[in-house]
Order: sequence, then structure tokens, then C-alpha cells
Amino acid sequence: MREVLEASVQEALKSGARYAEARISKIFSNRIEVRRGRVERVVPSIELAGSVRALVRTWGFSSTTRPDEEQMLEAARRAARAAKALSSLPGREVGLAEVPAVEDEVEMGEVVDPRAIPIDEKLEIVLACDEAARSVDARVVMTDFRYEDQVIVRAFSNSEGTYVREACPFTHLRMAITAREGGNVQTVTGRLSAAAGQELMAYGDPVGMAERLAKRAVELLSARKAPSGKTRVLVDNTISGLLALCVGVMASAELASMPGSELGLFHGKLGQQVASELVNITDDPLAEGLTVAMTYDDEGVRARPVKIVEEGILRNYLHSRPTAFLMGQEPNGRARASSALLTPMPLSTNTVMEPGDRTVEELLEELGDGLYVVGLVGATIGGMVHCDCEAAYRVEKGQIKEAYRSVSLTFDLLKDLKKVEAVGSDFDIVSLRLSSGEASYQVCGGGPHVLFSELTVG
Amino acid sequence: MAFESGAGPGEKRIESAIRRLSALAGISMVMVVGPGGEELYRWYKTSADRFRIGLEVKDILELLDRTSSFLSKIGPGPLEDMIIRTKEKVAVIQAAGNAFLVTVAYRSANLALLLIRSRATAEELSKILG
Repeated sequence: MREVLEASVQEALKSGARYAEARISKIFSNRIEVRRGRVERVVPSIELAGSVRALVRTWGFSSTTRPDEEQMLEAARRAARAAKALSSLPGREVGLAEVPAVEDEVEMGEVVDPRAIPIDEKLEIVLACDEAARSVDARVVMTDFRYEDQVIVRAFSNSEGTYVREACPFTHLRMAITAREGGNVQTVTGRLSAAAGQELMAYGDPVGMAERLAKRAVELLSARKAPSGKTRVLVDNTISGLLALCVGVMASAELASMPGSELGLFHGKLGQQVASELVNITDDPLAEGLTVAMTYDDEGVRARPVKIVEEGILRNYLHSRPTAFLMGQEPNGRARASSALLTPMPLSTNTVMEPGDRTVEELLEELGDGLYVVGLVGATIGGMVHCDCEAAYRVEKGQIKEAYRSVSLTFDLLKDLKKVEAVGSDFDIVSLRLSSGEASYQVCGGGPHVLFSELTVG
Repeated sequence: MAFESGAGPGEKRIESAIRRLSALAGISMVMVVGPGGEELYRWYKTSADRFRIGLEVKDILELLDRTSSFLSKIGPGPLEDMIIRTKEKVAVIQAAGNAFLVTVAYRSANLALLLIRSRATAEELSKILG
């Protein structure tokens, strides 16, 4: 692999580029889908991809699904030709922030390699989860389990002498369980997800999770619909994790440089108050036990934790080398591409809101009268963030009184993050797939329970 | 397959219940300890495993006894399962009603599947043993 990458880089330089980089990715994956006891899909696959990016005044890019030497050299020539052609048009010259050259190979570490486990054993686990959920109650009418494991091998080389190769595992099980009684339908979801191997399925207790979710769906059938309006709200980790994730997405320097865009909320706001001073948000691809594990990004830059928000103030964007150069800042290793077929762009990894000092009981007491909302089901992220949640509890004088089902929350991020009154000392994560066009990225958000003075419900 | 049976009710039914668990790759030994601390069933994958694994019922009972104080302090509720790992082996002690199901396997065994099959076997055993 190294020889092919280095030869491709040299070919791009010979073809007229002033800088070149080559990437190869190999993704070994298994996908299993089970619905209502039926196996809908069992797909093992290996995806190969390679690409070359060449720089003259601006970029040229070419990719291939057959990254052998012949195809990669051809991709190098095409990328250089494209770079020369595009560089003759008017436009800004692309610069790259300086980084030291590095040579490194990063292996997976002590994990149970998913490639070593037969797919029928993985299927048995998913079927056991499905059966456990359906056995809870006859009112459980739909179960949807989606399992995926991957081993992602990425290799990168550039004309500055950098060569890195990194292998990462990823295992994910998403469950959605629906209970119905007459016209009343309630869906709850759960996820087990980590940059880990098969050991996640052992220690994560997926069967136990499936049973608990099914019981919760049935319990919520007897709950009323939540009233809508503005009220004091305590949110759980899945929702605060989503908010942290949104901050991470919008901290992308590329998005932040688009003032007209829905996601460009952080444009021009470095150094400004964007949240309550109780809010601290960090993006960290090196944190253990979370969903994304990345020592080097897809430009060969060593990744490091980045404090995005510190005591409510926006401190840093997430950069690729071009965006760091453009803004006169240090690159921080966030250039990501979901495969070598795509060009990298600055993107978050594991973005977490740091825990504070209150227990959940103390937060309920501080909430006084309001709503306690739990269980992110899904969300749309734009200028406003809309999230659908499993349930909410009416809280009166700090005591949980009544459950409501199917609650939605709407966040105006720049306003609502300033309404954080207290931050819990607990922590949990939510793992989501962000899709934009052809690209699809795994990201992770994490956080504690958070108390808001006012949010829009319904 | 080499096995020994202990005294106890429904031996054939116990044997049938553990069959799926013992079929998992990497499993070396399965033992069922009854509610009164008696050995109800013991199975080894091979004769060599029978000589290598010297586990007795008294070892299980001693471990459960030693951990009872720890368990009572970490929170309410009875023991559900215990996973013990060494460099080469993993042992799972699974509550089966008032009895216990003990499985010893190599580290290479699929632990996720071992736990799932162990739990399913324990549910079946608790129905057999009452």
C-alpha cells in the first residue's frame, strides 16, 4: 500500500502539481437487519477506494474503486490535470497550514476483531435481541434492529514526506421498538455504539437493553401527549449529547466560513459568548470508549482534543489544513472523509459537553415545576434543531408526577444554550450518522443532564 | 465430548438444556450447581479439559460466599451473572433461579454469544429445577 501511495504522489508532482497527497481506504464491514423476527439483510462487504488530490493554485481530485498501482497512477495524472485546468480560472489560491511530516502506523489495539467472528454468530445475537423485545408484551408490534461492524483501514501519503496508516474498529447496534394499542403508537430507540470490536456486544448487554426498551414502549402507551409551549426543562444525556454534537458540527471551519448557510451559525463568533458560562464543550477523537477513534485525520495531521466552547465562549473551530491557513490558525486534525472516494472536510468527531457538579436528584429539585425530557429518537439539524423524544415527565416541586409520550423540542441554539441553568455530574453518549449528499459520517455527542430555564416544547 | 453427571433431578432435561451452550466454540466446561449447593451436572468438552480444569462445587460456593458482602453494598437485588477473565480463560457464573450455571471457556470464545446462550440456558434450567 505504501509503495502505491508514494508512487501516486510522485506521479502527480511529475504531472505538474506543487503538492500532492494520496489516500487508500479499505472498509471491512458486516450489516445485519432484523425486523419482527425476520432477517431482512445480512451483508458482509469490503469497500476499496483510493484517491489523489493535487494542488497547483487550487485542487484537482480523482478517485478510483480499484486502488491498484495502475489505477492510482492514472488518478494522479487526472488529479494534476484537473488542478492545472481549474487553477487557470480566477479564484483564491489554496494554501496549506504547515504541519510536521510524520511516519506512523496505528493498529487497533486490544479489541475482539469483528473479522474474526463468523457472521452467523453476530446474527444470533441480533435475533436474540429481537426475540427478547417481542416476548415482553403482545402490544410490541414492530422491532427493528440494525447491526453494523467495521474495520476501517486508512492509509495516507503526501509530497511532504508524511506516511500514516491507521486501522480502527467500529461496532453499532441500533434498536427501534414500537408498541401499539388501538390507534396509539409509541416508538422508543436505543443504540450501542463504540469504536470497539465485538466485546461491545458482550459488555453492552444488548439483550437486556432490548427488553428494557420494549417495556418502556409498552409503559408509554398509557401516557398522555405532552402539552406544548415554553417551560423549564431538564434534558437527559441523549439530548444534551445531541446539542454538543450540533455545536461540534457547526464548529467546522468550513461551515463557519459560510455566513449565509443554515449551519454557519458560528461565523465570526470566535471569542464571543455563545452559551451559558456553565457550558464547556470539547471535541476529542482520542477519548476511549466513544464512537470515533482517529489518531490522524485524512490529511495526515495528528488529531488532538479541541476545546470548542469554554465557559460559554467560542474558542476554536475545527480545521483542515486549508481552513487553518485561511484563518491563520493552527490545524487540529479534523479533516475527515467517509472514504477515500471523497475529499476530506473539517468535521467533528466525539463532541462532549463536560459534566458539572449536580446529581440528577439535585437538578430535579432545581427544576421545581417543569418537564423532564428523555430519550432522543431522532433529530433534524439546521438553523434550528428539532428533536423528537420518547417521553417527558411532569415535575412538580421537584417530584416526578406523570409521564407524557412523544415529545418534541425545538432549539434555537444560539439563544437556548445561554439558558443553561445547571449541569449534571453524570455522563452518557449518543451516536449518530450525519448524512450530506453522498457523504455519511459517524459522529458522537455526549453530555450530562442539563437544566434549561426555558425551552419550546411540542 | 466427555461428561460426568451428578445426582439430581431431570438429568436428561438438564443435558438437553445445556446442549446449545456447550456447542459454542471455545467452551471447555459447564457445571450446574443446585439450590442446596449440590452438583447437579458437569460436562467437559474433552477428557483433557476434565484433567486441566479442577473446579469443584465448593470453589463456586466459596466465591459466591466471599462476594455476598460486596454485592450487598453495590446495590439491591440478587446476583445475575459474574464474568471472570484470566489471560487464557473466561468463566461465567449465571444465576438460574435458585441454582447456578457455571461455564468455563477459552478467551477466544465469542463472549457476547456465550452470555446470551448462558442466560437462555439459565432460564430453561430455572424452569426445570423450579
